[in-house]
Amino acid sequence: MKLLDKSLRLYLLYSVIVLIIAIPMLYFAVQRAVKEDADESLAFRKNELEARLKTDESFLSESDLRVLATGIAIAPLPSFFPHDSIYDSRQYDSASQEILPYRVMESNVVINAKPYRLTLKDSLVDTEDLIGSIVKTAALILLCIVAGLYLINRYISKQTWKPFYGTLEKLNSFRVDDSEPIQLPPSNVSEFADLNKAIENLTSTNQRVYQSQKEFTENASHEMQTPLAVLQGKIDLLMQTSPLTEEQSELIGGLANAGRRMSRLNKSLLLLTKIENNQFAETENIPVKETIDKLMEQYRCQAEQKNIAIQTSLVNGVALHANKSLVEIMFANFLSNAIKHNCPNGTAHINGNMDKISFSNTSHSAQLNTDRMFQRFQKQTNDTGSIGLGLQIAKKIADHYHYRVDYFFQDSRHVFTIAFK
Amino acid sequence: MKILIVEDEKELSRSIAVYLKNESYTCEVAHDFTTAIEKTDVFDYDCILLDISLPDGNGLAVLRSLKENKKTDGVIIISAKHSVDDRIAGLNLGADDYLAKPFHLSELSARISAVIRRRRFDGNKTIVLNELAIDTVARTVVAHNVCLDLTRKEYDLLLYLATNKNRVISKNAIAEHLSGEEAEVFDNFDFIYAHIKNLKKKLSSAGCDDYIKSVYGMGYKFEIQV
Repeated sequence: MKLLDKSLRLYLLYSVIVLIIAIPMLYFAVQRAVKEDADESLAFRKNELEARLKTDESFLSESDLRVLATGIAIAPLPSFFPHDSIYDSRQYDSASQEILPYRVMESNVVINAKPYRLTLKDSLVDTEDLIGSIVKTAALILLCIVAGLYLINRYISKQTWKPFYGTLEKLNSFRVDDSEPIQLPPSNVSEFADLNKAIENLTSTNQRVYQSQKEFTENASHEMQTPLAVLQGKIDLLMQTSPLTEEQSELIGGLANAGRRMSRLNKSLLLLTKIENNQFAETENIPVKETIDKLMEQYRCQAEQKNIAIQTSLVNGVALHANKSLVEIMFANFLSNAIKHNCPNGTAHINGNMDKISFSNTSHSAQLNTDRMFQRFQKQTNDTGSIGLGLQIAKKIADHYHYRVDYFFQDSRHVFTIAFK
Repeated sequence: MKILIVEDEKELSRSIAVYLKNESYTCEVAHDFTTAIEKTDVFDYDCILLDISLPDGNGLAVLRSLKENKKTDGVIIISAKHSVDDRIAGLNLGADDYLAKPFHLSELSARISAVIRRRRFDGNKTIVLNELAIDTVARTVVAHNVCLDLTRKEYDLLLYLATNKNRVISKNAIAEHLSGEEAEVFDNFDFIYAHIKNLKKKLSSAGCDDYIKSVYGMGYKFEIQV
């Protein structure tokens, strides 16, 4: 849930509860007041009528018995018993031809020693309309207030949190290998200003540490090349000495292999650093199919050695706009992995279309650990010759061009796909 | 054949000199930029091995001065920087080849002999080893007047062995020579064995002596008494 919604949601909930309670309460309160008023008026009229009936007997002539005035009725009763009641009633009104609400008062009175029932009624039509409009108006005003408060609050919160979201966006796009320091939007809220300052400090420290580490790798790799060259030269010379026993030859062979691995490692690390330093700036259109064909030709010996059948299904005319060496290294790493980690007499498939290319190979090994496979020095085989940088380099190149690399294990085949878009 | 080694790392220049001396090359060494300029001004060399990063200057400047003085010495740049820019800059300035450190001495030797062959003006670009004649222009091999039918890899292998004759060449060096940079990603060099076997078979069926010897634990050797 967003911070903004969180506070506003509470406000909204409170407002809705208040509205739900307040509107009926208002309705009943007004209704009660109106009824009390009607009752008072009925009682007053009754008393007045009673007084008039007592003093003016002619008022009670037979013809007038039924209807004295609108809303007043008097009827003789067989016997007197005290009775007084007031109630709501809905009665048919012949004038407007509809059922209308009335407030009715019944009272038994004795006039000229004869019992009568006096019925007074007051129409409630007007008052009901009145209540309706009062409640409606009140509800409308309340709703307006709530909605207005909600919108204003939202606007204020948005304005207040704006620098925060700006900072968040910047942080999301922050890359530690960027040489540019992070630029955060200024804020006059002291908390945000503090936050920005803390983030700027943290990120610049990170960048500095990363930079120095990168430089270290770079320098170490560069500096290592000369001693490696000396080592390799000396081994080559040592091989020419004679006589050499078998034991010595084997030792020299071991040295040569270790030296070779060391220089390979070094080259790979340098390559990684160079990709990170964006030193492969020149780009051109590289036809995928031709590149793969060229690599297949290069690896033919190795594939034949293990009797691996490589099947390709590639579309003509697909080209990548990238650096030629990098694309070749990337494809070469996937292809050579498909040969290296294949089982003897296995198969390797290279399938590609406009958007992606996939390398798959049979293997004796089970599914690889996807979490760590693209990390440095993560070897997933027992192959001692492997230095565990191939996939990382391939991934780095893919990342460099925003290609997506996926791995899955299907039908006991390892499949790597590279999506170009 | 005179070679100048411009390399500030003394141990490395000494190794190169020792290896090349056995190929009947005369080697001189310059450990810094100034010496290199002095030597190249005065003498002509068949091939100059040029390190780019020197303590008192850039090796590319040596190359520039050579070209300004209209010298025709062959130049192979040996650099610790695997930089494409350096490579292109060097080749644009007129270097004949570029070799990144670390390298195998056998590879260096093969590159030097290729440069020297290319610069030879007497038209003799054929390497003759007893009954074997390797025509480096037509890329063909003739033995006892019979043209051998070699694959591209077999030809490269034979030329490589021949230019490093009587030397033990490590399997690694052969693999890297045959597959170039691509050998980097492979650790299994069994495929060399197949090439060697086929080459030996073809040579022997053409009536050649068995020159290619396997050296236990290390690699191969082209053994020949000329």
